[in-house]
Amino acid sequence: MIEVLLLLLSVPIGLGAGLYFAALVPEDGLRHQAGVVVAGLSEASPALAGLAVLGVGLQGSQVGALACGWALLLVPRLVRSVERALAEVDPGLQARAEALGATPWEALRTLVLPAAAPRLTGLAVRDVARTLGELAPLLVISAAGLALLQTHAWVAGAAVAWVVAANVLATLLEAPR
Amino acid sequence: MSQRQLTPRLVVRALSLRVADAPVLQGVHLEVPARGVLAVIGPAGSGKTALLRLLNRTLARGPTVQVEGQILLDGDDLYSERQRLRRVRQRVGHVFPDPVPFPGTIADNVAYGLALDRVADRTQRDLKIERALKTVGLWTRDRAELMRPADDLSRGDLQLLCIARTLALDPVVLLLENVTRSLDPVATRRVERCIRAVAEHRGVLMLTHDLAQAARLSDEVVYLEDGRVIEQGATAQVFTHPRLQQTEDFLAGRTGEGLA
Amino acid sequence: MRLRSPDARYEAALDGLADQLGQALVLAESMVQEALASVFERDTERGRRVLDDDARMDALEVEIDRRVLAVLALHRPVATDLRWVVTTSRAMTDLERIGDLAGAIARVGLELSPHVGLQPDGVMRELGQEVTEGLTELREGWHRDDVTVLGRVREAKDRVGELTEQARSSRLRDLAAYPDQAHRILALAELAAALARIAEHLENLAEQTVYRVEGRDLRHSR
Repeated sequence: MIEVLLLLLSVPIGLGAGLYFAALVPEDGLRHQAGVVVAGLSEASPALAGLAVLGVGLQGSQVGALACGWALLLVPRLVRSVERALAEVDPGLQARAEALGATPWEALRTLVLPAAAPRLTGLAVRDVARTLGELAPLLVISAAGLALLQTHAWVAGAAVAWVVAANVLATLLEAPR
Repeated sequence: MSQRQLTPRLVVRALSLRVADAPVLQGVHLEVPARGVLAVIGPAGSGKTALLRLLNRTLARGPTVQVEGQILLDGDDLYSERQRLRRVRQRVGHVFPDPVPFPGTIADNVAYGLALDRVADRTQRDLKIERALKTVGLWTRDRAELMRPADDLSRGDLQLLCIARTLALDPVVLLLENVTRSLDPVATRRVERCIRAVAEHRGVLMLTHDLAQAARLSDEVVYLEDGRVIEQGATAQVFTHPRLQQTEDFLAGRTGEGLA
Repeated sequence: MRLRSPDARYEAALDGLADQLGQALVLAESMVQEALASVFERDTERGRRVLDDDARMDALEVEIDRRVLAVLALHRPVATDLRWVVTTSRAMTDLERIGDLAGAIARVGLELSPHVGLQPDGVMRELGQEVTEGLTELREGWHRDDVTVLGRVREAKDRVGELTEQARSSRLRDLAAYPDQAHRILALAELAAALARIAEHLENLAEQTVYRVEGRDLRHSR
C-alpha cells in the first residue's frame, strides 16, 4: 500500500518540495546545504537508485523496490526543475505585485506560479519521462543482481562500496549549483 | 499652477534613515502636494531611492534598518502598527523604472489590484479599469482590444499600462521611479503627457535623472545630496535662480569628479 | 506650419509670450500715434496719457523677460521655438525704447503747446507719418511672419533719413531767423531726432522678424 502511495505521490511531493526550497525558505546556510544535497541527488547515478531497489527487493517487496527507485530518482529532479522554472520568471513580477498590495504568498500564487507553469510543465514531463526510461533497465539489472546475490553474497558488498565511492566522489568534484 | 492652497496629503517630517549603521537620509522634510508634480533630483547615492522605498513601506524597520521621523499620509503615520500594509500600498502607488507586464490580457493587468481586494461588484471593477485606462490614454471601447495579451504592447504603452495598473486602486499619491528611463523620446513624451494628466487629480512624486524632464514636468523640485535636502522650491524659481551655488552646479552638470 | 507640442504647459507658455508681445506692439503703436497727435494737434491730454502708458510698457518688459527666462530654463526650446523666444526678448527691448521715445515726443508736445510760436512744418508731419506707417507695417508683418517687411521698413528708414536732413536744415535756418524761439526750435529738433531713432528700432524689429522666420541674421548687413 505504502509503495503505491509513494509511486503516486512522488510528483506532487517533488513539486511541493521544490516550491518550498525555491520560493519560501530564506536563503541561509541550511538552505544552501540542502541545495547541495539535492543537486547531488538529482545527478545521482541510477545505480544509487538501483541499490535501493536491490535493498528493498531483498526484503521481498517488488512493488516497494520499484517505488523506492522511482521516488529517489524523481523527487530531486523535480525539485531542481521547480527551482529552474521559478528562476526563469521575471523577478520584477514579485516586486510589482507587492507594490500593488499583494502579500508575498499572494504574489507567488497569483502571478509567479502561473507565469512559471508552462515552463515547469515542460520540465516536469521531461523528468518523468527520463525517470521512466531509466527505471526499466534498472529493474532488469536489479533482478539479475538479486539472482546473483542469492548465490554470491560478496557481490553485494563490492557493489555497495563501489557505488557509494563513485557517488561521493562525483558529488565532491562537482561545484555546488 | 499653484498647489499651495490645497493641503499636501503626504508629509515627510524630519525623516532619517540608517542602514547597517550608515546614514542614508538625514532630517528630510518634504511635502507631496495634493495635485501636481514634485520632482526629486540628485546624484546616485543621494538617498532618493531609499526615500521612495520608505514612502510605500517597501523598506521595513528592522535590526539593520533604523527609521526616525514621520511619514504622514492624510495625517496617518505610515509606519505605525495600525496601518495595514496592503492599504498603504493602495494609497501610495508605485511605478517601477522598467515596464513588466503581468501574464494575461491588458484588462487582467489593470484589474490585478482590484482582484486582490476582491472588489466583488463587476460594474465597479469595470468602471475603475475604464477610468484608469482613460487617464493613461489606453482606453478603447473595443473589448477585443482590451483582451489582447499585455505583452503585445510596445514598450511605451507597457509603461502606460503599468501606470494604469496602479491608478486602478485610486491612490492618493503616486510614486514614479525613473519611469521613462528605458523609453525612446517619443514614448517618453507620451508618458510625460500621461504624468501631467495624472497630476491633475492627485499628487505625484517623481524620481528622475533627466533634469530637463524634471524642469518640464514638475511644479516643485527637491534636490537631495548625501541624504540631505539641499534646496527645494517652485521649479520655475529653482531652475532660473536657485538659492545655492551647489544647486546651480548640479543643475548645470558641473558636479562630479575633477571639480576645480 | 509648426505642429503643436503635446506638452500643454509649453504651448501655454509660448502663447502667453506671444500675447504679451502683441500687447507691447499695440501699445508702442498707440503711444507713438498719440504722442505725435499731442504735438501736431496741440492736445496735451493725449500727451499726458502717453507718459502714463510708459509705466505699462515697462511692466510688459519685466513680465516678458521673466517669462522668457522661465521658458528657456524649463522647456529648453530648440530651433524655431528657440529663435522665436530669443527674438521676442530682443523685440521687447526695442519696443520699450520706442515707448521711451514716444514719451520724449509727448514731452515736446507739452513744451510747445502752451506758447504761440513756430509750429512743426510739413516736413515734420511727413516724418511723423513715415514713422507711424512704418510701425503699423511692422506690427502687421510681425504677426504674419512676413519677411518682406524688412525691405519696406528700410525704405521708410531711408526716407526718414532724407526728411531728417531737410528738417535739420530748416531748423538751422529758423535759428538764424528767429533766435528768440530757440527753445521751440530745439524742441522740434528733438522731435525729429526721436522719430529717426524710432525708425532705427523699426529696422531692428524687422531684422528680428527675418531671423525668427528664416534663421538669417541680417543685422548690420547693409
